[in-house]
Amino acid sequence: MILSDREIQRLLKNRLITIEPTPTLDAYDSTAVDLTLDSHIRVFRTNVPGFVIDPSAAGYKATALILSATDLFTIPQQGWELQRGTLVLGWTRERIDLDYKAKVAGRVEGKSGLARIGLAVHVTAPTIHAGFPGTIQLELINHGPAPIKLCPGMPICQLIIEAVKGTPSKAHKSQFADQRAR
Amino acid sequence: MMLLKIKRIGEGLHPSETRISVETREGPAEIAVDTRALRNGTLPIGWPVGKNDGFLLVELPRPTVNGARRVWVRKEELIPDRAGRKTA
Repeated sequence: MILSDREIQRLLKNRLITIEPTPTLDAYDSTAVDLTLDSHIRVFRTNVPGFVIDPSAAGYKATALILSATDLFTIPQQGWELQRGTLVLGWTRERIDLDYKAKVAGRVEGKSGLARIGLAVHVTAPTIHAGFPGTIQLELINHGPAPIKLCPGMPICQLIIEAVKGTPSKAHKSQFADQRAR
Repeated sequence: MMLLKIKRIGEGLHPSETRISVETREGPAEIAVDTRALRNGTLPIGWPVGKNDGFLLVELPRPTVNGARRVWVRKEELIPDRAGRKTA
């Protein structure tokens, strides 16, 4: 069940979920809230001869590979052009926290106006699990016919909040609750 | 709820992230987590979700670099969270 704007605002007011900075009222529509683009992105170095990513290689570590294969870049206020067919990693400016008590999970989706010019914001990984804290990482790809200018603070995606039926195991005090560290 | 012992490895992909390592049954597992989610050198993980042969199954807030969301850890790797969130 997708939560309405009023229900999202009720959860925010009761501190069951947090979105920082708090979205302005015009960031909402009836069943979602817009999130904005952080100024930091990671840009892949594509001009390295022989560079091939092999996820099946022994000891493959995605984060370490991305750190070594990308540069952290700060988008200037006047914007930066994402070229056609290019993937960069981005983040939302907003940090979210979905408390288990809220019994919600989230989904990050693109915005139709950006989708129609070819901008994708994730690669088949939209789920924000219950209990998630942090900024949301985006995989930004320009599938369109022309470069797309990215600007810090621009509405980049929408967060949809969905009700979770029941309490997840990790939030449920169970027979493991009496575990003690030595 | 419980806190999982961690080791800091270094910076994450974004300035808000930290790369950490947790000790699992299969060896060290690396995760990039939100720095603000860390608490005094530990990672809040809620309650364990399973146990087997001296190991507890815990769910991480983000997947490890190998994609695992739930990992087996020795119970000595966990610390009771006195100041954590209330349970449902």
